[in-house]
Amino acid sequence: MEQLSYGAFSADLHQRQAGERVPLQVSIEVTRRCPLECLHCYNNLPMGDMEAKQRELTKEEHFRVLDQSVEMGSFWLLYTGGEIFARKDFLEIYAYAKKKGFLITLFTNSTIIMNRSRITSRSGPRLPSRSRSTDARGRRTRR
Amino acid sequence: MTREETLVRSRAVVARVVAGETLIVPVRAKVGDLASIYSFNGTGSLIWKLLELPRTVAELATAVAQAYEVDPARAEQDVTSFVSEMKSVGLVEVPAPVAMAGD
Repeated sequence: MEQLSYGAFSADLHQRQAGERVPLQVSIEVTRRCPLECLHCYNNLPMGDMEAKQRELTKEEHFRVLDQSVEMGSFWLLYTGGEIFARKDFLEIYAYAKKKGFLITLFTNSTIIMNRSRITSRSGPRLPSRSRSTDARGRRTRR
Repeated sequence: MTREETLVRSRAVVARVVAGETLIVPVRAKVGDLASIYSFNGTGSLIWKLLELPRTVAELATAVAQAYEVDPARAEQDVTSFVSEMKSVGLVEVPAPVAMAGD
């Protein structure tokens, strides 16, 4: 088998789809709620904000979005928020996306879930990318 | 690997068609190199499509020889080599035996 670096593979795929209006990359904000509530953030609603919670897509709606994304040829998938783990069902959404064969990146501040192995053991063997943000140093930047 | 060996797609991977290309993405810890994505050309995609159901190496080779109008012996040699590699990295597996009534 011929081997190709990830960078070359990604560049080749993007180049071949250039101008084809195919959403190769999909970014989804699963919630606007977050435990940090940083002043500078546009997705900083309190964890207990029921109105914000009710406006979120349901788990089943997320599954449908993923099904449609597969049909359209999407391959890279970014989950962000708010804080993704503010949703108690996020791991189910993640596991569904993984079974669909997306290359997944998670943006989290790790305040709710600190242990990466919890993701891998529940939902599969591999988490290609996780970005942990440090947006606030002290209480002055938070509400 | 013999020509009578039967193989089927591994349940540890999922196939995606992206940009007209068949990509095989590991989703479970049974594939040799979990960090790899596997891409097939037209012939590989044909073999992958056939392997949705259990097939012998001989059946795969016959299908390739017919589709590409190549010498059957050459097709069998190439198909054997290809599926051996697929098996070695866990993309295909020996199908689980089906329980028959009365077993």
